[in-house]
Amino acid sequence: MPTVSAQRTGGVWVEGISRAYVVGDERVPAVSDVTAHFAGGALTVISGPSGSGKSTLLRMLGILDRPDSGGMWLHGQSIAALSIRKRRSIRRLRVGYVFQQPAFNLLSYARADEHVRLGAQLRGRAPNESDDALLDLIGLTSRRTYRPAQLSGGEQQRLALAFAAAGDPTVLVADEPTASLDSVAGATVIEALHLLAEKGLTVIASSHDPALVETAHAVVRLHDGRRVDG
Amino acid sequence: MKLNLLPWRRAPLLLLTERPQVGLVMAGAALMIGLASASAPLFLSSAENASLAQQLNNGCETGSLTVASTDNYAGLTSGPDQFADDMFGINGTTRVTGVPSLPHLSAPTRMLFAPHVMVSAAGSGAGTFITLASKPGDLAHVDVLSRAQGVNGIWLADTTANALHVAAGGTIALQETGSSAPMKLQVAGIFRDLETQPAQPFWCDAEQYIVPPPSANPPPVFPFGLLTQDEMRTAAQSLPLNVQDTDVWTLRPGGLTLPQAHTLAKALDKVVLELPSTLNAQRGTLEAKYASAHPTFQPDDRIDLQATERAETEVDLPVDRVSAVGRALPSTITPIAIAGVLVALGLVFVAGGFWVDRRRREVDVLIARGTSPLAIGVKAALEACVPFLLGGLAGVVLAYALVRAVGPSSLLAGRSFADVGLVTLISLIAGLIFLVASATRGCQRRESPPVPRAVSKKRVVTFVGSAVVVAVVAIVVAARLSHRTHLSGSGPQVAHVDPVVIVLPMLAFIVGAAVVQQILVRLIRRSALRGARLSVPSWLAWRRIGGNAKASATLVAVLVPALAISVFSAFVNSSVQRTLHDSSRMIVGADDVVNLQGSVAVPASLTKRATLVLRIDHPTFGNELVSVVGVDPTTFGSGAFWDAGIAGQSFPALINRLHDQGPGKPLLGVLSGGGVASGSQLKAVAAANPVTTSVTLVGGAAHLPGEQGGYEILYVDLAALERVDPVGTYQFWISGSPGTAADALAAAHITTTFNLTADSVVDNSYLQPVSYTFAYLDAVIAVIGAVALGGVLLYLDARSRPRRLSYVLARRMGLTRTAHFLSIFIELSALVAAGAVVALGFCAMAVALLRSRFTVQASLPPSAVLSWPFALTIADLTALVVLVAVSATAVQLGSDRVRAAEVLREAN
Repeated sequence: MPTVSAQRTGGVWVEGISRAYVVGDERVPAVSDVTAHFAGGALTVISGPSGSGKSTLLRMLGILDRPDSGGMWLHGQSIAALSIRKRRSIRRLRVGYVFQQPAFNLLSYARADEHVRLGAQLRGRAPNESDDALLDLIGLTSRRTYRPAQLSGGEQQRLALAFAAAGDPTVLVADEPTASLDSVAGATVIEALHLLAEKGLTVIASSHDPALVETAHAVVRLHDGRRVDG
Repeated sequence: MKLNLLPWRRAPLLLLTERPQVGLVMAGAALMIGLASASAPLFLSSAENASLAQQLNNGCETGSLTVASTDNYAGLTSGPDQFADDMFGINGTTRVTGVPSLPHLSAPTRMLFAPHVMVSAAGSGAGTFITLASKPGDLAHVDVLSRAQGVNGIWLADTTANALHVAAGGTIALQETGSSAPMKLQVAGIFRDLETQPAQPFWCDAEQYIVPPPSANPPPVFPFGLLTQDEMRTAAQSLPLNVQDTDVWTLRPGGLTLPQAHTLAKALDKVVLELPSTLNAQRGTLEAKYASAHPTFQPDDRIDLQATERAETEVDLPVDRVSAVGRALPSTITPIAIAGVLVALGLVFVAGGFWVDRRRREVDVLIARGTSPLAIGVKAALEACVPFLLGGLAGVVLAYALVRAVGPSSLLAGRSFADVGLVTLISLIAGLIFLVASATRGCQRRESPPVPRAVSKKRVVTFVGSAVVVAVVAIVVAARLSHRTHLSGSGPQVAHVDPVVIVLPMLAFIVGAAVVQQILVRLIRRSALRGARLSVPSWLAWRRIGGNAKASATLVAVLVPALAISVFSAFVNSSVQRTLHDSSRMIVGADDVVNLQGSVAVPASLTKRATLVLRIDHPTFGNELVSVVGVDPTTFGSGAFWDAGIAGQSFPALINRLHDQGPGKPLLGVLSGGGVASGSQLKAVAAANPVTTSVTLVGGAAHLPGEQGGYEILYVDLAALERVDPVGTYQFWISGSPGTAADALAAAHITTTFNLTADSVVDNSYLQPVSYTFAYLDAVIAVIGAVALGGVLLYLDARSRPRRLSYVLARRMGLTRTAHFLSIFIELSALVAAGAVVALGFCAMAVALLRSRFTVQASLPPSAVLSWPFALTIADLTALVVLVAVSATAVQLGSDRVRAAEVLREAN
């Protein structure tokens, strides 16, 4: 494990980040003093039992939440203390996020190809051939004119990955992407994650799906909000 | 923000296809906005036109054009000649042709009158006076008592026939006073004297010949003798007589709007101004013709013949009065409408949150993609455009239909539609801005949920700042409005409700509701975990309330202004109307005053609520013109209106000081105002000569019932006054319903000649704008009720997901359906009850602070009479209970239909 403070230039670095929630009058820690590196061009899985802090860490990595303390770097840029406007900008341009439920990631009124084009456009990039290539990559070329309701769960989740990956972000964050799928559909999603990682994205997924954990390039294990894999 | 991207590009059609219920809520909110904003200009126009119609149909105040000239047969020195005939002909022709054809003006009707003509029974020297009259259709507008078949001749009033002892078929002789030979005519029939009959619109233009005008020394009027116009001309030439030759154009008010009436009034003013010169020019031509053809032409004849020309119009007066009504109304109607729009905008704000909740998946996706909350808020507005437009249009149509259906008038001026378009457009745009703000706020909360402590300070600062701004606005509004008097404007004056009474409470209720919401959120959160000893339904209800303190507090906050405005408006409505009615009773003297043909005993059926008085208007007391009322002290209190607050003393004690001191002794009197010294002389008109008597004042008050026209009123004993024998009018002053009194009088065969009720004073007077304001308030109360209903439904819908989940789980833990239903009922009841209690508290405070302003004319007693609208309060509370029961039942039925597997899967 490299020294974090010395190397923050590739992928995503987190150093000693913590996050707690206030419930009633109590302060409940969700993530405590976690340090990790999520390499670019690799699939890193955050694993751990329910309540271990996976989703909280993932939301912070997706820049949907911010740590109470600690540092975060995205390709060398410190992002932990940015204003909400700048965090929003980074989210728009450089981060793709996939929610656990396939249907929650998609617009019910948009076709598959429209999703990919929209994903690129939201990042300020005009639609081009790479959008079609992305659909090819995740195996949805034959479903390009289908709306979400016409797709299976696995297809929906793959389309969600394509939607999140469109427009060339640098980081793709997926929250338990196979949790709602059967093993066959889950396998197609895992394959899609690897393909996206091979494109150079920093792919981070939370999961306790053994199939996904076993194939990951790296695994970060959490328990009670703390990293336990050393 | 890129509005050309798919989510924004497709937004305008999404609510129609994706989430119809969200579209319905948006449309409902826009409907409220459209209804509230469009109703004001439509109502104002309707009220103006209703007021105009009422003024124009009000007794004899029919607006019309009258052009009259005197055909001076008696002024000719050598009897009628060709010149006179030609002159009268030109007068008649020019009168008709000089008036252009104008909309809403009838064709002219020619009337002939010859007042003060001596009539006697043929062969008898004794005679009396009549006014010869002729108007086409006159016999159809008199109460014919008898007729002689096949006889052409004069129709006499029964008073004349009785005085002359002639019957139909008899013969009478007409004679001009002090000149010429009489002219004999057969009596074709007898009709009831018009003076003893209720006023009829047909005879309005002849009113001056029927009823003496109110003045200190009114000219005498005589019963009519009706002839045909040919018979009239013949009589005029034969006797000879001066004949008032009048052409009248009557206004047809049906469909006439105020702007049209203004135009018509201007056109008639122009006619009145120009017609005399046209007549002069015509006469000049005739004169030149005669001067050249007849060297002996006498110019004196010409002068006599044209000196009595007059042209006048009465349209100006009602139009000006209605314009004054129109000027007075916006000061109260507009704030009420704005309050209605604000309440509707509150609903829009809630609908914005509803949109975010219902579109949370897409909102989350877009937020995760770095889209700004403002951009998503704009998307909400784009989605809402179509429902907003449709809802707004529906609101306008509904407002139009309601105003057309329930008035005050179904007639609306064209210009009001332009106002409706502008006001509604502005309101809908404001609604969309509110929607953007609300949805943006909701998205911000999804993007970065507030950290309780850190943000609460900021929120408190923001909230206090907003409250300060609203308070400053309220103070400025109050300061500006407080300069207004109750009677305002130049020209005819009308009363209106003090705008402060309407505007300030509405502002206060809205701000107060926001404060209550903030306080309740904190209170509920602090006490959310308590309640362990409650029953299962109560505990569940309390948990749900505490589980989403903000939604619970928001429902209370929505209900507070709705209920407070509703109850307070009804309170103002009730109190001011009561005050107004009492003021009207002060003016009239009682609920109902009927004029009698003479002294009549009070019929047995009215003995407990009627009293006989003798009223004399405008005799001289000291150096003042006063009204004198002879009263029976023992029964006066049963009929006359009295309020102990008027003079701070007992009415019976005041009246009981009056009694008859016997012949030759001064009258004892009670005087209002106190402008005349005790012992002054009362001088009144009597049958023969004026009578004079001394009055000793034994009491007084600032105001007394029956004061009219600004004259002080003097009460004296009826028997003592009758002994003086002045000319006056016997009246019954009656308390209670005029309708039942009329029935009782009819049953007792008592003929009445005039009837004045307190209600008619409110409806037909300067107090009219007040009653219109109340009508509008009533309508707004109904709209606000709909808003409250919308608030409850939105609350229920917003809580549907967690409620379904908890129901599914609780059922598996043994919760019964009844217990669940009760828990929902208790949950809603608690929140609605909290809203009702706070709203009633706000009302009580507003009443305590503003009660002195619940009068429309401070100088008119009694002072403000408070009247709590118990019926409406109970109706409001009953409606809320029903609403809660129905809603709880609907929720329970909906919960029963839930599929457990789906709910659990969704919650996972």
